[in-house]
Amino acid sequence: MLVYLLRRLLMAIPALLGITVGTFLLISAAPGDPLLAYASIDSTDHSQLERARANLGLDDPLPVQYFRWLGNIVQGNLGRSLVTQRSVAGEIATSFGVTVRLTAAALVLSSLVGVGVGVLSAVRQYSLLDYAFTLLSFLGLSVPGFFLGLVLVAVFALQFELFPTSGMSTLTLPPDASVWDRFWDSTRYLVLPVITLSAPNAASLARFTRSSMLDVLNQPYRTTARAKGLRERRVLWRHLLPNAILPVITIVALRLPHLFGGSVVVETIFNFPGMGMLGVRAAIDKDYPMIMGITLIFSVLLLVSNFIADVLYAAFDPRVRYD
Amino acid sequence: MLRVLKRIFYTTLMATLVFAAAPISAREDTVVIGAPTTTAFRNNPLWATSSADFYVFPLILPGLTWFDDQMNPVLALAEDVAISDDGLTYTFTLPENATWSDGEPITAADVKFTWELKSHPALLALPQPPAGRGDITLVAGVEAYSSGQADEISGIQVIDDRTVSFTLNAPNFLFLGNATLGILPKHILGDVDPAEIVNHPYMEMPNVTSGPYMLTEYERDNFWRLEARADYWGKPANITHVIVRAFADNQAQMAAMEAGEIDVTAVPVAEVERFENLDGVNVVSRSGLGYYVLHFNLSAPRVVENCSAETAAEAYTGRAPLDDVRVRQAISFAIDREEIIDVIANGQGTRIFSSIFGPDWLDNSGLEAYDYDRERALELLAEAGWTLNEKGDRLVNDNGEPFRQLVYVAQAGQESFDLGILVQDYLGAVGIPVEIRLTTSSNFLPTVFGEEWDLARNVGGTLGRDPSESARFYRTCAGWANAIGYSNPAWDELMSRGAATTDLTERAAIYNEASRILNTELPSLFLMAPNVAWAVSDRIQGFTGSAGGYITWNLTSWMIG
Repeated sequence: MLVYLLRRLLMAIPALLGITVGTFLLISAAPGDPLLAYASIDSTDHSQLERARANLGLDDPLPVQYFRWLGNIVQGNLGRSLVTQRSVAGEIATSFGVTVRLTAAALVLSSLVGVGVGVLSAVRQYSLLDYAFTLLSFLGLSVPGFFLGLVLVAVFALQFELFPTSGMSTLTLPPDASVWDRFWDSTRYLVLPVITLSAPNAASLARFTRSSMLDVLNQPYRTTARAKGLRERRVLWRHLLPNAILPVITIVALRLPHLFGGSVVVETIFNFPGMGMLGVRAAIDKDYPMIMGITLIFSVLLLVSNFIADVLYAAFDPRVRYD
Repeated sequence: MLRVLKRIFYTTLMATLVFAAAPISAREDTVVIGAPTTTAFRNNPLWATSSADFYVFPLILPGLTWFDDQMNPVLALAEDVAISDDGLTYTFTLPENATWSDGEPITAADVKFTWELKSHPALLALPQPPAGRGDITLVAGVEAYSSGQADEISGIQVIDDRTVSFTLNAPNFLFLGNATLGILPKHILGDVDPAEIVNHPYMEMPNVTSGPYMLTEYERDNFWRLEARADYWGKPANITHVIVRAFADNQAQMAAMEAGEIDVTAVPVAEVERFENLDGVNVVSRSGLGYYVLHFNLSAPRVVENCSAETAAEAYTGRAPLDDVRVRQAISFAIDREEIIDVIANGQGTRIFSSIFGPDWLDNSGLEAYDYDRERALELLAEAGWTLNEKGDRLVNDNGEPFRQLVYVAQAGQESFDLGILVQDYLGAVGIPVEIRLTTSSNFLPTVFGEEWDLARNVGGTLGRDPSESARFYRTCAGWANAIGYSNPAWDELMSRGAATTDLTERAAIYNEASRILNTELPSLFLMAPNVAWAVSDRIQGFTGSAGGYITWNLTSWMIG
């Protein structure tokens, strides 16, 4: 097992390198000039810009630029944003927590809802409930996040005024508000974005759980358990669900990168200053170091999710052996 | 199992309702302003470039001057200004008891320090040099200082603790409007190596302030929290707490206003109707100074890099067939400005006839209005040798060669797209095909510096109230602002005279002449100045929108109630 884990970790390195090379090439191929994005047309002169470009090494051949970046990364230096001159690591650090909070909440919600709905659908196969859930799942999978977000805001924030439209917390709270009040308040702000982010995830988990559950419903051990005189609830919880949930657990881990990806859209709609918003802006500005830094973090997250999926699978299924 | 799921379902439902039903009561003594932060920004007046910066900095780190609602420069940090008879020297006096929020006095040395910082060679060598509002190069000695040939800016003299004078290269009527750069505290930043100053904590969190407010909390892309200073030396603000909330997405900003989460926001003219019938919200609108034009590509791009009066005149030929002024005039007649105002600005805008517009004292006589007239356009095109083909869908010349397809470029956005479609229709109707190319913001200037375009939507921007501010777009070798490569020595001379003259009658005559030149030669298609509008909660009294969009210009006079 340990050898397997090590091997997996080593395999992640070429994957990461591949991703960074790909990203670097894509950014270079995209049109635009980061130094011109905010150049002041009144006060900046051309020679100044050429000097800045030379200082930054933007005139060097691409491989030179890439290896310089890589050399810095190995030393733990993500570089500075070309636009704000702030350290990329610092910018990511401040926004990382926001994104993690959003995605973690969405992960929990979508897992609970997805598995719950999937089990119910399977147990009540071909019932009205099953059809309703199936319809909802397909809606969840097919409605784009930005649209769902806008609809939720229009209905629950503007029409019924149940939740705030955007932001992270009420900025006008009295200074003596208790910790509980603050927690309560910021939770209200999470509801709509988390639902938006969870919808496709919950839907795909529900579909997965349903089919996985249907598989085990017809297994002989179900009959055995019932024959032993176990109550239906116990059969479901102790004998069926653990077997059905196994592939679902891997799916949960594998869906994690989708959540991070979805946060790009959700953060923009709901004005969450997280990594997604940072990434969108960096892409528009063609701010290479920032885009590379964010891509690197997202790729690490993706590889870690895959890794967790593998480990979980091994841990939950005694039949799996990695030697 | 089912029961458990039901229980989970109902618990979730209950919790949701409880959350929803129990928003915690907000404090009443706070005004919340929505600010667009679609661009990356630094929390520092040296780089103040986005709207949010211009909302916040006048309140915490004002410059010597700022603008009133008409965009006239007015004194801000300075208490008094004396202008020498030759118009060359401006002497500012700071108030006697003015202090920073940490108790240190605000002195003339702070002023000189800040201006030198903005033009310091080390900062100019950054990938993004300081771009705060105000053209410092008007001051004598800035060039020598920026190039490292001088240790200080000779044109800025500290006379005593409260008095500082600026000597200009040439008399310039506009200097007061360019003295708006937010003044920084020398006692905090004075000992920092300018090359390292961008990393100083103060540049991210300016917590020592000179204005009526202190900055007590700041989260990037989220909010600024300001609190009125108890020890403020000038007229104290009525409202104790001000929050400026950042919005990366305009729809989120509009929704927050509709839901009452923010009290004040600028509203795109196309969204005005949404707020007009909303309870508890007032809409304020006025004519703006936004400059809405389409530039023609008139020069080879190398001129931008290596410009002199000779090369400019030589290169100012334009891209055929747009080099023929009759073709440009024909295009101007083929455009329906009224419809553009309807579509783009929801009917709320004013037509403009040149880049010179705004103040009441301007003389607009003798300008061609270019009312929509397709026949007139076709006549002019015929004079220039272009007639419609037999099918009537394409211009051809005598040799039967078709009129080249024109390329329209603009920064991607709904408005740019809508305008592109209109232009395509108008020019299509006179037999000129148009291709629409939208670019990202970082690719717009590189595109315009390239050769592959004919019509470019300008990057918005607001002109100052004074007509001489438009000089930078059309002055020979004005650098990137004149990326289109227009050059007309007679026009340059008029603009220099206009900026150096103080007599309004004389100025009106000068600018009328300058205006006529642009109106005839049409380096750009002059379209309109859209109105500016705001939605304001009715619990805020005293709001007056500024034509330049500087929402907080009179915030200290606002009241809640």
